[in-house]
Amino acid sequence: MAFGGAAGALLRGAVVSGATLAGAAGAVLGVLAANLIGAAALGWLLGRSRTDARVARWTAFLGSGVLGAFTTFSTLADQVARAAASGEVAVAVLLAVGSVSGGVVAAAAGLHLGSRDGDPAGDGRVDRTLQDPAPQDPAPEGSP
Amino acid sequence: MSGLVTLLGLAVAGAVGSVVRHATLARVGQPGTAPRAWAVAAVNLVGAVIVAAVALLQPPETIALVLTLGLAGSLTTFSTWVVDAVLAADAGRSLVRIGLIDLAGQLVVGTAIVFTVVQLA
Repeated sequence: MAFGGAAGALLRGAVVSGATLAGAAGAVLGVLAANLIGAAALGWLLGRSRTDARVARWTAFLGSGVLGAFTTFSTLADQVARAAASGEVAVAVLLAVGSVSGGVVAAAAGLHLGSRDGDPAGDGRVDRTLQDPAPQDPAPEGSP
Repeated sequence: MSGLVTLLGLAVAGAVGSVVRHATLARVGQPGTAPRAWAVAAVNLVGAVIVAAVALLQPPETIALVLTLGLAGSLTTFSTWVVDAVLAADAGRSLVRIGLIDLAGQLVVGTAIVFTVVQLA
């Protein structure tokens, strides 16, 4: 958990520093990208972990640790507040509404895909092939 | 050298923020329950207070980075916040509560905390 949090924070630091080189708008877009990617990834992880025990074992490290720390609420609030304080109210509203609605859509899409990946039959049953891949059938004798 | 100190500080602050958030959220129920929604709001709004305090006190740049990007950044979470909103809807929490309190309300309060302090500083 702690290592995951450190990794997530450093990864976010790298993304934000890189994006900031492209100017103030770059920093905003960098945080937005980190948040939306993190929301979709966490959704997928939790969806998949419902049926895949291998993935479920990693949710504390990857979910609470890496992705929880990779995404951020405080920087978003800071960016919205500073945009509003500098008179760019339209930018502040767009960033707030876009982040929240985009985040919910990304999370729902990730959950949907993760649940589907782990349960292709859609019947809520665990797909055994995910945990114990069946060996390939041997080629019939005489085949080239 | 100062770059290395900043990196180490970010990593340690990131670890501390994540562990505190995890410990806070692990104590409450599943997404969809009111205690869970309040616990997520608590870590996120405490993070906004940290960012506001740094804006007000203006510590040296390295300390400011470690506290805002590292500690507050990792203590708060966007991914759990929005994934919880979707799971809460699935669990039957009212969409009005999710939209107006859990999502919009939390961002408005967090932004207002930082906005007020930025205006003062």
